[in-house]
Amino acid sequence: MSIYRPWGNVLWLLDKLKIEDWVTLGCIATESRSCTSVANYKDFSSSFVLLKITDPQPLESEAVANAYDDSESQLDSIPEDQKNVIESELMATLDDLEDYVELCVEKSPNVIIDITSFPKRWFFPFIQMLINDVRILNLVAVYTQGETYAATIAENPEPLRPLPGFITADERSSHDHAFVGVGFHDLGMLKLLGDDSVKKLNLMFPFPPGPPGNKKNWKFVEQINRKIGGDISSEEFSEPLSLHFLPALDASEAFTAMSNITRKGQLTSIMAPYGPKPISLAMCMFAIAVDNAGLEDVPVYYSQPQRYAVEYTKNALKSDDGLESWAYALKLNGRDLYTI
Amino acid sequence: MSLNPFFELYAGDRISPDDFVKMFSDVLVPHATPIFAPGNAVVTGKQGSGKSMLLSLLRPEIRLQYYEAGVEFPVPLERRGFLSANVNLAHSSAYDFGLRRASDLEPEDVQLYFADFLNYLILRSLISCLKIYSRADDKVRKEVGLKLKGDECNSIVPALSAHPVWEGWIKPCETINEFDDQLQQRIRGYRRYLHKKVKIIDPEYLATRTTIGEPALIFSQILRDAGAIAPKTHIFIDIDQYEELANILNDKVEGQTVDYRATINKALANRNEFKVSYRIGTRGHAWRNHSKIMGTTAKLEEERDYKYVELDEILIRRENSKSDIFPSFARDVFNRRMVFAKFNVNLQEDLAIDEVYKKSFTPEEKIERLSLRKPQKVLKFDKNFSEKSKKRLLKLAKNNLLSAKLGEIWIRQKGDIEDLDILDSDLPWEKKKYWKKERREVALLQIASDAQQKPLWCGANDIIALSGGNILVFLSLNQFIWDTWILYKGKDSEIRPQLPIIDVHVQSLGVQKASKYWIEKITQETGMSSERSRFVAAIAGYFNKKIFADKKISYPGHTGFSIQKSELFEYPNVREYLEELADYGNLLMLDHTTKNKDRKQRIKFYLNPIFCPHFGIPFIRTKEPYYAPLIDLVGWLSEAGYSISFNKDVDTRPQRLV
Amino acid sequence: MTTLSELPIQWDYAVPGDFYPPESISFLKFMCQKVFDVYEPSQFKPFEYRLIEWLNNLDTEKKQKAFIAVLLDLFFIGKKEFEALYRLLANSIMSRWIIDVESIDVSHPEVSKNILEKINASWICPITDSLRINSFLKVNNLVAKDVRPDWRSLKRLGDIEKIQRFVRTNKIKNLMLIEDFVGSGTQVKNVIKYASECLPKTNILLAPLVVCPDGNSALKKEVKKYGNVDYRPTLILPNSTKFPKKADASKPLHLFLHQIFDEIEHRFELGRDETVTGYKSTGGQVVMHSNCPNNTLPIYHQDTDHWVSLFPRVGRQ
Repeated sequence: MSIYRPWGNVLWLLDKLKIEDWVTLGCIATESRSCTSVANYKDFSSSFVLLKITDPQPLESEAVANAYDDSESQLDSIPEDQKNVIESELMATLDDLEDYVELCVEKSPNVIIDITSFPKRWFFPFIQMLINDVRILNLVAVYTQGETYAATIAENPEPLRPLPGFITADERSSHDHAFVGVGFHDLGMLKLLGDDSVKKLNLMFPFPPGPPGNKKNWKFVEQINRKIGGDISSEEFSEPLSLHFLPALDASEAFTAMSNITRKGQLTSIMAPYGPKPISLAMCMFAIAVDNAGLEDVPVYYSQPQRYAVEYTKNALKSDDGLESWAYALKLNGRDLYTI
Repeated sequence: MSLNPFFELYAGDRISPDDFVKMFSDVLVPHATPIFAPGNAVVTGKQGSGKSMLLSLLRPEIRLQYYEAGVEFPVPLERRGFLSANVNLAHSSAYDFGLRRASDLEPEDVQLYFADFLNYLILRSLISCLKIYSRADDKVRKEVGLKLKGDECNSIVPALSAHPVWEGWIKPCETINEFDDQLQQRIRGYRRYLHKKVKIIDPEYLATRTTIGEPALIFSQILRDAGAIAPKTHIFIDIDQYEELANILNDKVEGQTVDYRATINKALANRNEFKVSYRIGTRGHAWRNHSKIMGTTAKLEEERDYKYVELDEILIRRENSKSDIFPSFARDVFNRRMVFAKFNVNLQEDLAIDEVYKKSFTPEEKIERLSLRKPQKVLKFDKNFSEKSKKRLLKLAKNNLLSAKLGEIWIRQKGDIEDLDILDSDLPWEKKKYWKKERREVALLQIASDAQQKPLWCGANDIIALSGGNILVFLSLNQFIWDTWILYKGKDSEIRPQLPIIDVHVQSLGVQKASKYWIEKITQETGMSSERSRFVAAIAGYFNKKIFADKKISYPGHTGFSIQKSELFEYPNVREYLEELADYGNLLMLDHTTKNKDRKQRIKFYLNPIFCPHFGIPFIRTKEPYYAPLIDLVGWLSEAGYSISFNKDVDTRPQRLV
Repeated sequence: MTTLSELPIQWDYAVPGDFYPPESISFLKFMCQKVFDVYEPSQFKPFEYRLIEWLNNLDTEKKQKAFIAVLLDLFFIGKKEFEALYRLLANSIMSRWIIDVESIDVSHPEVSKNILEKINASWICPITDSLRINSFLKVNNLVAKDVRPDWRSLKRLGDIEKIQRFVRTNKIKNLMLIEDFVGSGTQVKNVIKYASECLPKTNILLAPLVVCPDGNSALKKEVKKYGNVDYRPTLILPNSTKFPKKADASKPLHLFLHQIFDEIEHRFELGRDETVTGYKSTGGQVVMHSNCPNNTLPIYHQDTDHWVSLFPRVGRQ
């Protein structure tokens, strides 16, 4: 069995952790699940720092404004003195992000970061700051699944470049491994593989879930297969392209897989965080862990969209057991759980 | 080995120098000589215009690949005397000044930091180039004009490191590696600051900042003074991803945006006494609309400050032009891929593509290959068609459906007034060669549609034309065709060395797949890509409807639209949206010599040919385009989500870097 | 009569009226080569060859195209995908359950070790011999008990006293019952009843890997009857993957397929409770690399004198 890093249904995990005063760092987005997620575990948290992130060029201003209001109204039951709602631009600076982290640390050393609706440009550096801040003792990431994604979830990507804070110290352009999350495909990142040289390409195929989403994933694999002009195999050590089946929700497993494949970071790698957010979370944790272990950096490349769909997802996903909302313990009692 | 010769991604160990030079086509080089000539060069062209291929010839690693493979370096001998630097603004984080809040700084300060950072990146790249060539063969060093060999490079370091241009930040040192380490240290310092590994930028940096372009000039001067390089050896600095600077939304400082392009442009405006010049890759209109120089109100001037290499102009099919370069370029690339894939190909002739796909198919041949069981069913007669004419056309349809269809259209247009009881070749529409030529592509599409089939897109000429002058599209078309062929052929696809003959249906299916792919790909580009995608869909839908509704094919040329130049200039935002569409290759933008009596100057726009198969529009341009009133154009733009104002003073473009 | 010798390239264009989108044949060929070819019960015939034979069961192009359309919706679980399911089961479901029943402190630095210990101390058994228990244990580096009977057999041939003595002697507190695939849940219901009655004081985890919608409903309901059984499936197939028992006018493909099913039913040899939409009309559209469940549409697995299967089934008497 792999190392167990506590994760599971958010209410289950928070109950098990028995910590009283969490501060929640969350995102108020136009999609309702951003706040449905927070509302679900609000009783565990005593204060909230909530960022309302605005796109630089929204298309339908009125629909956007209404969507924000509807979303936020789910948090009306949280007393005003516990909430700090801040409006910020999508392309905020790292200094801005650091200020928001400070607001959290002021409240409590126990932080829940709800990554459900945070763009990667935000949650990657947030998590890096929170992990590396010794004042933070306990850190949990929460992700709530969505129901019915918009046909076009995001538009107008920026040029491909490293995520803020996730570069190499020196411009390394040759890597042993590339890890590509398979998901709502963005073929722009494949340009990276043209510019840099990569010895082995690892496709992280989210499985489970199965149908109906897996057909889309196979179509992405079909595209890569065509572009590489060759043979994709799911044999573990096939060259130069391997397919790895990893549960979409299991960030810990994905982290372990990347760690094993790179021989605990001894081999160099580059990341493209597409696909399910928990897999992206794993990539984030892996890059941070490698950096903290003093090994060669792992750059994370991404084309940041400049506009998101108003109804990115229609609703948060529910089952008979409640909200499909998952918490991942990243740091407990000052101890990093995701280490090399 | 990849099974598909047209793979575009490469993972694994490096391709050998031998393989690399085999795949690399040098057809464009003679047409892009300013890139290798002294003076600044602005190379404009879409992604896929061959820009990257040409600029990569500047790099020492690439030159050495040729030498290792024993293949002649394609740059003309008299132009090979140069050292070079290459800076990728994205990869190096030079883009990333917007990641930090610059609230304590004026916009000019940020620009100064950017300039300094860029200088260090350039110097580091120059040092790397020097090291590489100093360790190369005597022959290479002679061509480059480098007199230093191996450790002799260290001889210039004391003078270089002690130069006042560094304002004392670089400590004098003896070896090139020590010097390089110091450059790297400063670069790292910037990157660590930009990505928040350190809180503030080292104040020493501002105090010791260098002016844009100066260190490179000093480097050149010191090398020349030391006799380290030949007098006619130039230094070329290639700045990559310059064009994407317009797409990065950066922090505003005091309401002003930081202008990185103006900073780089200042380097181009520097005097060139030490033979240092720049190469910048851009998209056409974006460059022409900017050209500002940091610190002045002046703008860069063509010829005085730079030469223009307009690759799109060189490649693309102009009207009546037999001098298109692109077909030879494409054929050469195809040949080389066949050689790489171990097929037998005569490299002296670029005919492999004709062997594999057949050179071309006439519309009649294409219809024949649709294998229609009942071709007569495609014909549609109006009430006024006489029984005699109907019978004649039905009979004709059995062996020449295209002619029969054209006959149907002829009668619909001109009336059923002629006696058709004559030889097939004497039929009136067969005698009017131009009338027929203008209409047969549309007729083909109408036939396929009526027969509930997809039209065929096949033959080397079609595939080259569908590429629209873009080598990436060409590669992609072939990639899809070969991928389909491999899927259907299975193990037989591995047979070597005989070139295969690929069936028309495989070709056509590959083309359809490629067409759909390139349309989907629009939204993955930078800039206002979703608006561009919607605009393309809006006009494609409009023209598709027109084509199929036009039962007389009165307007076969209405596959594109034409706008008066004066109207475009009155509405700058409309013009800039269209220019962006052209810059990204979504539309072809061409001067239009109107047949109108008013003689007003016009510009015409067509969809990129590769989009046409999926949208069901002919890609061959014929006759007059649709003279679109501005209101139509504005309608399409609005439908696409662009915000348009008819108030000429209001600029509704989104605020981005200017 | 349309007898195919290969998949016609013209089908790949997909014209209006076709049941699948353009480029589906290419995609299907890709899936044949990369995914379906590992199907174990027919290793020596390349998958595409079997596909042609299967399509030739039908006499018109329209019917063949409809079968291609429904095949595109098939969920095939390969060996590597199964291993991913095994790992998810152990690392998350079993781990979380053990944390709960053994009150393990998740914040403890040795939580991994504690969990592993408790899992290895549990009794991990398959429900039927279809679940490859050795593979499951190997993939997860688990040892557990070396006696691992399948409980379906145990129910028929086992001795309750012996079982109870085994549990006492080995101080077993937790029983984990795993199954690879649950269709209607009929089989599993019986086994769970038996296990719960046999070991009322033992914590029982019912952990099927893949469950059809019908089976999921049935088991959720069933488990409520027993105080000591927890039901934790790994992958529940959504309702949309179930092939409907009755034709739905809003779905032309299903409507047409039902017509075909009615025509061809006599060519099948359907056992008790088996229908044209699978055992107990589960409407399954799932095939595993090791076998095709009988809950899956019989068009895929029926092998008779009048019907050639695509995924031949290894069944039980």
